[in-house]
Amino acid sequence: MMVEPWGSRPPALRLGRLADWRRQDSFFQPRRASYWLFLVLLLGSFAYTLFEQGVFATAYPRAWVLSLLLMAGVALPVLLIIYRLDRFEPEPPSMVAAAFLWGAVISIFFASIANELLFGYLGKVVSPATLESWGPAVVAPINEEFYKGMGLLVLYLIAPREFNSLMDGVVYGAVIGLGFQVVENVQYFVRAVDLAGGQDQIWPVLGTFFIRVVAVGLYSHVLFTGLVGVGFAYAVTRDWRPWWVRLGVLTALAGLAWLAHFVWNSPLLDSVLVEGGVAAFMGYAVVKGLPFLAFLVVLVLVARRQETQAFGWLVATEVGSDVLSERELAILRSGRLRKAARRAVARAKGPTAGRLMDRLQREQIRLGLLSGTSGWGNPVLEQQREKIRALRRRLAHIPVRL
Amino acid sequence: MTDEATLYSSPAPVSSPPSGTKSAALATTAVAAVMIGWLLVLFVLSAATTDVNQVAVGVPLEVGSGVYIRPEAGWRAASEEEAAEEISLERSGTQLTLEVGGFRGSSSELLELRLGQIREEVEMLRPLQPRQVVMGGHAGGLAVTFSATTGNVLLDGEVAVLVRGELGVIATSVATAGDLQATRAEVERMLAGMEIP
Repeated sequence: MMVEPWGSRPPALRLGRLADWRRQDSFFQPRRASYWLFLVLLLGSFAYTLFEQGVFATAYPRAWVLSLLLMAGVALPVLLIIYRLDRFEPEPPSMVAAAFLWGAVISIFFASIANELLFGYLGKVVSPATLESWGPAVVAPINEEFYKGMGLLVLYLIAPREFNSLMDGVVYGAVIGLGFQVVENVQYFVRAVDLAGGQDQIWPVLGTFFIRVVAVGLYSHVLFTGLVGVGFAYAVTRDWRPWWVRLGVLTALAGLAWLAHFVWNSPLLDSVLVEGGVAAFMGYAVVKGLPFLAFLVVLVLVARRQETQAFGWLVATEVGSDVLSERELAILRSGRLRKAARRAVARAKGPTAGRLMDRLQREQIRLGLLSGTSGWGNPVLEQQREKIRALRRRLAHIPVRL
Repeated sequence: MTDEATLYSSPAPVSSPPSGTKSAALATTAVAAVMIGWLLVLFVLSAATTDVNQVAVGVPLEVGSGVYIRPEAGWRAASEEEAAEEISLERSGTQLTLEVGGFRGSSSELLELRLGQIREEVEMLRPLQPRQVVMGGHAGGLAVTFSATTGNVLLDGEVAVLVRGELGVIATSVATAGDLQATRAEVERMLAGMEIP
């Protein structure tokens, strides 16, 4: 029988591989075949991406640069939000970057070829009119969800320890989806310029940006692959469940992602758009996308609750010491309370103290990651405690503003 | 050594999947095979399927009322449910719609009627000057090239009409801007070679 070095976890906290929080893998795993597969695929796909973006840049330089700037302006904050979802166990930046590259470069390359081939096949069995209406709804979900989903599998093979909770699946899935969405949107922006007459204009870019990103950006690849990610994480972390249950959950959530993509791309409710108007468009978007988004939000909340429970368990031995009080633990477990505490300190002692408080909270959370690696004597853990004590001292020395 | 580095250099826990083993390599190979295999499946599927929309090259296709057109190579049926006395063909992004019906008036009146219909369907229509064309071996046909905008998309198109007795024939070809040029010569040849009683 295999004994876990950190002891058995309580039955109520059977949360997959949460105990592996204490160890992090990076993306760089030259001993793993999957790492080299990733690099080979990236290299091959990157040549295609460079060529495509080069064509865009040459044909419509102003529109292309604007497209990149707009998408960078959106993608960076979204990436940060996704990254911070996993507050208690942030994923290694190299793995997050790899997930983004899989979505933006590898999956979009394979999906483009597969879409072309499947469109070609369907074009032979249905009329061009039917293909135009229903083709995107059938073709894109099959190929795009498949190739984005394969990214989760490859990342898992590269760094399996990084998949230890449902939240990890959300993060990696959503980041893969974000990468895909960024490049796909640039393609749409440039195509809009092309369709609008082929001059290097910026209005088609702005118009398409408003529709695809501002109005309906939430109902896209971040949502779809986020759903697949939860299913995948469930399948690889719930090792006490029967294999068929895990496979069933993965299949159900991948199916839901496919359905969400299908519904979004389908011509259903298109008649509403004919009526025109912003309200009609927003209503259309809400009906077709919101139910799936709401479901993902529920899954994220469940995952977050489990992470919070796990965090409490991991820092249990520190609670009541000079580095983490019970009150502080309660605050750390709630994003709302963390923010309120930072604000209260900033109000009382000024913005510098507010920033120190933020750092203190981050270091206390990090203590959870490090906690228990090899008991109280561990030098890294002791260093972390010292860091927290130092931050406390600095905070205490800042006088209260009158 | 930083904390991060210490973490990254931690030895693998006993429960982690094996690295560099045969099974890991096998799983990786399977992933690569599935990714490339799916492309092959789609390629074979597409190559092995007969195109139901293909129309026979050079074989007269009836539009209605005894009017026929002989499709050139590469043209395909564009829709499965046509209105009576109307067919649509498609090639390389150009859609050619042919309609016949009773019409009392001149070719220029029929042309105006058709342009009016198009004007209602688009946001902006800019037609050039009409010119004389031969349709089905009959002189007296009129054609006009136009550009139009609909939903931020710029379209190029051409309408050709002919009135013979009380029979009107309309041919409308439309493509996104710049795409019409590739098929223009073929459309002109097919219209010239139509059978019109």
